[in-house]
Amino acid sequence: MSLRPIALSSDLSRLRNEGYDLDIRGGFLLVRNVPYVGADRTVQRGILISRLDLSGDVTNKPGDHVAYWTGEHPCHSDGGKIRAIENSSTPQVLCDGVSADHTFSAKADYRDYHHKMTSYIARITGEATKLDPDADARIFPAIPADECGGPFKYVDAASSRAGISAVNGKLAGQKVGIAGLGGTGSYVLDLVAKTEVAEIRLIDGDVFSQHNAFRAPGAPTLEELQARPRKAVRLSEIYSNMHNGIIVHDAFLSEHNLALLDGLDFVFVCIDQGAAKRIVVDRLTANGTPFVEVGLGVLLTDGQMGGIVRVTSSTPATRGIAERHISFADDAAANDYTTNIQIAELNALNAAMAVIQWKKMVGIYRDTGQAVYTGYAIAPGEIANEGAE
Amino acid sequence: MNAPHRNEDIKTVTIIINGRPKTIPKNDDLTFEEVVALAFENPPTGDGIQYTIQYSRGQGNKPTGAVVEGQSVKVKDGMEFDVTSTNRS
Repeated sequence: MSLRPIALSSDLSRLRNEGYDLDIRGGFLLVRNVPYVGADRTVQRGILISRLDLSGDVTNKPGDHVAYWTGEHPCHSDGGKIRAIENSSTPQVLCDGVSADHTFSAKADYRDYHHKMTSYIARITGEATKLDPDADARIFPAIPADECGGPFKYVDAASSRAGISAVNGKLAGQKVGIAGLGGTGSYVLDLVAKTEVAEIRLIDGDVFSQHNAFRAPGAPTLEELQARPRKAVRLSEIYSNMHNGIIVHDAFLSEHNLALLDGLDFVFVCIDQGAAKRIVVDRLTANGTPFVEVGLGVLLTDGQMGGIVRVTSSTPATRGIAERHISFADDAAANDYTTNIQIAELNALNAAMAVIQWKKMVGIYRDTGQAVYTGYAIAPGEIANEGAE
Repeated sequence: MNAPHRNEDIKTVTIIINGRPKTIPKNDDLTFEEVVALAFENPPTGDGIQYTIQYSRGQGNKPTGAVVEGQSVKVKDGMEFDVTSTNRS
C-alpha cells in the first residue's frame, strides 16, 4: 500500500519526523522497532499496530482506541505483564503479511494517530527505559521513496523534518543542466542531487583524473582513479544512488552538440574554456534559459593565496549586465597572470553560491538583493553584489 | 631631494592590490585598465584575456563592489582590490 498518507497527514508526518519507524499495510498503521520488556526482563522490539482511518489518503480521527501488537506481551520492568492495557491475546492475521499476537485496550479520546501511538509507546517503552535508558522507538529509519512520486530513491526526510517540503517543492518538475563537471560543477551536482528537480543533465567529456579527486566531493579509491573513469559517468553512478533523474552526456559542448542545452529550465555554466563558454552562453540566451555562470581566480603572491570566487546570474531580464561580469578568459591566452589554482573549499563555495542564486531565482530563498554579480573576495572576506539597478 | 617640500604637497594614498601595497595620487579615480596595470606589470590584452576586479573598504556610499571594463572607481586610503581572471571552475 502507498505511504502517501504519511506525507499528507500531519499526525503521521509528525510521527515520522520524530523518528518512529512507520509503515502502512492494508489499512493498518505500523510502528516497528518499539522497545518493550519481555517476561524474562530483557528489552526486545515489537510492532505496535492500529487500524488506520483515512479520507482520500488523509487520516481521520482514530475510530477506536484499540491497538495490536506483534511480539511477546509487554511487561513492567519487573517482568509482570502490563495489565492496564491487556485485552484479548488471540493471534490473528490483520492483513497480508501483518499478524498480531495481542490486542491492547487503553481507553482514551485519542485526538489523532500521533496521540494514540505515542500514548501506547509511552506505556510500553517507558518500562523498557527503566532497564535500558537508551531504549527508544525513535530510530530514524532510512525510508525508501514511494513508488508513486518524487525523484528520490528515498524520502527527503530533511525537508519534511524541517517543515520546508512545500517551499522546496518549487523545484519539482524542473529540468536542470550542469555544463562542465570540474571541481565546481561536481559540487553543484552534489547540491542539486538533493533537490526535487525532475532531471539533472550532466554534460562533460573529460576523464576524472587524480588531481580532480582533490577538488571534488567524496573520496575515490586508488583503484577507481586507476580505471580512469569518465567524469560524467562516474558522477552519474554516484548520485543515482539518491536521485532518479540524472542523465549523462559524456561529451564536451561544441557547436555540434549545443542542442544538449535545449529544453532545460535552468543551467549551471561551470566551464573553464572561454570559447566553449561563449557558444554556451549564446545558446542559452537564444533559448531564453536562465543560468548561473561560475568562476574563481586565485593568485599566489608572496607565499599566500588570494582571489575572487564569483557567480553571475543571467536571466532574460539581466542579460546585458550579466554579460559584463561573465569571464570568457581562455587558456589559449594563458599568461603569467592567469593561474589554474583551484582548491576544493573554493570550488565548493562557488557551487554553493551558484545553487543559492538558482534557488533565489525560483523563489525558494528571498531575494531582496537582486544581485547579478556576487563575488567573494578571499583576503578581505567581503561579498560584493552588483545588481540590476 | 632638492625640493622635499614639493613631495609633501603631492598627497598620496596607499591601496592594496592582490595583497601588495601600491601608492597612488589621492583623489584619483582609477579606471578598470589602471587597476589592472597596477596589479600586473605587463598585463597582456586581447582576445581570451579578461579580468574580474572586486574591491573592499572603498568610498562610503559603496565600500564594496566590482568594476567592469569601461568603469572607474574612486579610491580611498587602505582600499583593497583583487584582480584575477575568474575563469576557473
